[in-house]
Amino acid sequence: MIQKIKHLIGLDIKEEEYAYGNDPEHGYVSAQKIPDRWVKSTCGYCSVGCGMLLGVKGDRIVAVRGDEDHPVNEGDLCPKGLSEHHPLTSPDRAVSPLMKQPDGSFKAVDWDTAYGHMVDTIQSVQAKHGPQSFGVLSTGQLLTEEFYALGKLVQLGFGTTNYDGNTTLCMSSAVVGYKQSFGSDGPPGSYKGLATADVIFLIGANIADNHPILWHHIRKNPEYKLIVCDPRKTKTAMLADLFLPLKPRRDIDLLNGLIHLIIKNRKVDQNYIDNHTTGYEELCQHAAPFGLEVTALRTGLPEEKILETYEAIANGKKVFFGWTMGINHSTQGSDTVSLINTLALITGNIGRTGAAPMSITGQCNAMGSREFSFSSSPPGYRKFENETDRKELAELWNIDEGLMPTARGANYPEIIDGVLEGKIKALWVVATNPLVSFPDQARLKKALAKLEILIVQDGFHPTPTTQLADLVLPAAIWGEKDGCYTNSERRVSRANAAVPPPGLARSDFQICMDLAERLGKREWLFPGWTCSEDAFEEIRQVSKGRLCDYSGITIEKMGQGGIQWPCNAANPEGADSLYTDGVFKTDDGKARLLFTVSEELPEDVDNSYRLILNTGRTVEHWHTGTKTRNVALLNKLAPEAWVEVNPATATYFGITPHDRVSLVSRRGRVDDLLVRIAETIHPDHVFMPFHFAEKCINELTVAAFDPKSGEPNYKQCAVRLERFDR
Amino acid sequence: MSCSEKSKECCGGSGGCATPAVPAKKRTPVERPEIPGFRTDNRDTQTRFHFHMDLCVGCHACEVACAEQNALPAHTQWRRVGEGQSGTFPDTQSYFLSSGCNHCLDAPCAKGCPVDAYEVNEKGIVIHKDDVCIGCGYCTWNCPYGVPTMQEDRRIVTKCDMCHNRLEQGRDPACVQACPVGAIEIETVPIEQIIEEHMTVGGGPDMPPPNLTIPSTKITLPEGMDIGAFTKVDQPFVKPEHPHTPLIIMTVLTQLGFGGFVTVFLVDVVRTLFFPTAEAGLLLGWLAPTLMGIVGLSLGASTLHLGHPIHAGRALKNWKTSWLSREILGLSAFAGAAMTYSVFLLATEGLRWVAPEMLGGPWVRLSLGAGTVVCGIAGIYCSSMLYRVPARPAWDSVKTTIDFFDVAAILGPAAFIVAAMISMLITGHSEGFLIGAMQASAFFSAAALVFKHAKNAYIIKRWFEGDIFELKASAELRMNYFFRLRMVRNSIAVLGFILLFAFMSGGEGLGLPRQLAVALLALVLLMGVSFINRYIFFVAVVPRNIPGNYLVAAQGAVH
Repeated sequence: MIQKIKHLIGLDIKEEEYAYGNDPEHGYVSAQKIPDRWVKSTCGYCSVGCGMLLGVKGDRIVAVRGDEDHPVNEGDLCPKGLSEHHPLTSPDRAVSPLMKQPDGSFKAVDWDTAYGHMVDTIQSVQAKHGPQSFGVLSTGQLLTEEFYALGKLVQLGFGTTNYDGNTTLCMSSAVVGYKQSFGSDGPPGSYKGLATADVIFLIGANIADNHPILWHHIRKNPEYKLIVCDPRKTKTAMLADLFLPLKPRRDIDLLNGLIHLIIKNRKVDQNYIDNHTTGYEELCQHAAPFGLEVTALRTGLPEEKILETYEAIANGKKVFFGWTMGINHSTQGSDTVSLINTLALITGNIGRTGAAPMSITGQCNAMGSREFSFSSSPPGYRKFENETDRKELAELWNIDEGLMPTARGANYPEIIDGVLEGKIKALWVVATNPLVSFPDQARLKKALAKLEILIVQDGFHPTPTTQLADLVLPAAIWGEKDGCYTNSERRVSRANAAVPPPGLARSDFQICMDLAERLGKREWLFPGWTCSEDAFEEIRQVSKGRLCDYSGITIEKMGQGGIQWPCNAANPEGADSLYTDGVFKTDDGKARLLFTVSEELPEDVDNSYRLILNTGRTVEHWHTGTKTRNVALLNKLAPEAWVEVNPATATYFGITPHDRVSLVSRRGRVDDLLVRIAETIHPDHVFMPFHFAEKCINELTVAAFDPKSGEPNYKQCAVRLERFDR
Repeated sequence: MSCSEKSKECCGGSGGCATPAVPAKKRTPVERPEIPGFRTDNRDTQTRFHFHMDLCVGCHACEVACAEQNALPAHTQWRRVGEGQSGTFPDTQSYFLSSGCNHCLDAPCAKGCPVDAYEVNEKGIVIHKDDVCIGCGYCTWNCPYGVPTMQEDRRIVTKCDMCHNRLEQGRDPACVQACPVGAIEIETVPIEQIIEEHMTVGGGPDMPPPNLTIPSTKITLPEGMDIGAFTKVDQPFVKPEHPHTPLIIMTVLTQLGFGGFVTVFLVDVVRTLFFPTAEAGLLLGWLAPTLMGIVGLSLGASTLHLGHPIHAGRALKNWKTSWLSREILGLSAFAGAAMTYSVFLLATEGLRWVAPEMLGGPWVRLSLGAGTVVCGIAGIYCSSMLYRVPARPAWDSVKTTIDFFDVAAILGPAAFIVAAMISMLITGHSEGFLIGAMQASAFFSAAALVFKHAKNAYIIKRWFEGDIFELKASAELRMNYFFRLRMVRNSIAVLGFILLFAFMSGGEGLGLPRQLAVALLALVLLMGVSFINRYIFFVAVVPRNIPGNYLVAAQGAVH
């Protein structure tokens, strides 16, 4: 009371709270941001994989700084990274296991009760409906050791192969595309390439919003031409030397046209094609019809822009091909990735620093899940179908080879289909938020309602997904647990625990150990394991001799800015490029020159739904916002979803910047949206970001998937714009 | 093209970047300032931000780094990133502008601060001293870049200090350190060079004219950028400003008091010179102290708008450059003179404790009255001048001064009429002199009312038709968002006018009590009009600012 009066009349200006001090290492700074100690770690947001220092005071992280010694970011961080410690202390953290009561409320329970309920229910469901009636949806957010443990627990412990990650929603097409072309997953290039390439060709990648620290490398490049292909004039497109405003899905036509021009004008690297690829004859035949005029017509691009692009790529000594979700989020994503690989291969742009077809991944450890999660493939880029691979693993794990699954189970959309069809009765969702992120929410909700049990393991509660759960398991998040992340350029970096998790929350690793214990299989699955370092030791052995070879990586070595696999006797310091010898992971060691043609969009516009809805991110937020919407400043800078509309379209619909609008698709609607009228978007398209749970774009998106990868076609669906009257 | 080449091409001049060849569409020619600026005598060089607009990718890391460095709550941002766009799809262009404090050579925050809470150090960094600030917020009105922010949780203003303590340590400011593309730099250049550059370069796109404050910040534009073609993205969004209720009350009531004293003084002069036998003593003797009470209360109430009312006394300190200090001085002098005049009138005529001769006779009294009027003019003038800041174009004209005086002209005579009616009711007879004075007052008040509304309608129409964004937006706020309020005000004004008119044409038939009721109602209505007008004055001002962030600007914007 006295304090309040003092404050009101002005005797108290909170001088102590806002005092400054001198951090011995980092200089003058707000006193409350001076920690007792600094802990090295790696960012837990995107796949750029920036090195960080976490400043710990007591049991709180009070500051985050970029690690100047880390080669990825050299001290820089994006706004999300700079504020990554704030969500840890959010009131929205899940702090206790919760069981849904008959009246719909949650009751806090102890771990023992939670594990008991979970395992008993799953086992009874499996006993009744078979082992495959239990499905698991994981994530790209866990640490590699956690993926590895979870994979073994699910595939061998629970004995179900209906296990996939949300990585299928973001980069599974890149995985399939790489596998088709090169015989294995694995992005062949490095960020260093961005600083050394003479041509940077970005297609469907808005790195200024999504991977801003990559600009740190581009800005170091002394001489480059940046070409950006995107249907929308993104922040990245604004910075391009040449912008190609493609029609949606006509990326395939552009690539075909470029391949045509390169072949026709004999700008191919014939030597490379002859020695390291197969399928050139067929490619020539395939590309023959895609002349300049056809390409211009199909892509909607002026001929001179196509020619300028062709010339840049044909004459470029080192061309960096980068893509993200503009390519992957498509029913033809996998084949489009392979087509990019083909373009890189015929121009010899692979196996050298600066010359590579690079999938720029989404999540911090999507790569780690690709390597070792045992979901879409067995650990170490092995194949379910390959008997040698199975045998190798069974021997390494000291288990009966017959227990090894021989085929991949359902992928993410197939698991949802399975739930909808009543084949999957129990679902365990780990560190992902499908109630915001999965396409066609109405269909998803219908499916989840059929479950006998939904278990959601997350760092935050309530989220739209935990609210639906029958059992919520509180998990430790970034900053509270140890392990490693692999970034887009195959760099394995160490993420360290700086503070303990809140309340009863436990690391996902610990939860896996506990559940294995419950199943009575802990020693069998995880012999002698006590901490994540034990898992890492096993990963080193399991990966030995594989493309993603960790055998030369040690935790000490990783601490010095991470190491790019393969790291082994031949590459003790790791490797910045793959396929430097031109030998690929196919049977004959040669890359495949694959091709495809563009199909119609999964959903076309008509008189009722005359606009194409494009989706994407904004720099302030991360995915479904459970973390970033808990950062006050980030949420101030981007507090709500918006719809980007071309001025001509706005005029047509009679909409001004002060109106609120609704977007309506054949599946649902989102009301009360802010509109942004700007010349950044084609009159036939609208754009909306996907981070906002309360304005969820996935009420609108279409449940159409790439048949090869299972990746959703988020990027296009037909919608209608309406004025919304409050 | 290489980025080093990109920045080289626009770095033609020696020692820092000079002008890229840009057509000066939006730029008004900048006249060379006569003096190098405010408090520039302590140095020959200036340390400044150099923002490379050609390198910025719009990642907002600088904003977050600044907040982390200074532990700022989200509502207080010392660095902001704005955006502008031009062209049509697909040939659209955009820019991002990251801006902290511009550490101006002619810093209006420092000049206007009544307590001298700003210091300009030997590097030219404008530093705000938190412990001196009384939270009046005047600097937030004075800065055309919206830099000083009222930090609500501390009830004082805070702002970017270029991390000068880090600079002392040889370290970069947090924003500079955080930028992943090196788009923010710190450099030290001769003061002359900054003045030279502003004569030739001007500011960035959609920025307030640099000649207002001579900002030290250097902006390197992308090659070939036509800054005149761009529109800031927050252009569609305008929101009403804070009403500052204590200030609405204070300004209207001091103006009422001033107008009242002018009327008292004029009546006093006329009766002394021409109607020595008129019975006006009771009226003047009580009206003056009543007015004095109103003025005193309103001045006291005005300290409530300070974050730190307890330190209000410090606000006289910077009278040399601050109109706020001068206002306080002027109004205090007015209050002092009015107090003396009132005491004189009360003692000699209201209470008749002492004979006028004992206090020096009528000429002393009239001199005190004249002094009150002169101090009042000075006080109200200073009061109006404090609002006439270039950062707020809708306030920055003689209109504000006229506004303040015409409120006095409307309310002062109206208050006199009420007081005269009361005195006639008490004495029980209609004094011919007073009736004449009342009629004259009613005429004057009504004329002032008509003048005020005609003048405002004309000026606001000019704003609307002009091409200054802030004036146009301010006019639109009045015409659209405050349309209903203005209609209510107009109705009240018309009613008030009719009542005044009734007085002018004489209303003896009504009888004194009813006449008093009418007079009282007229005064209340006219005060209502004045309060509404002053409210609109405070809220319907659109300040100059740097380009904003679309999503932030859209929050709470009005149509």
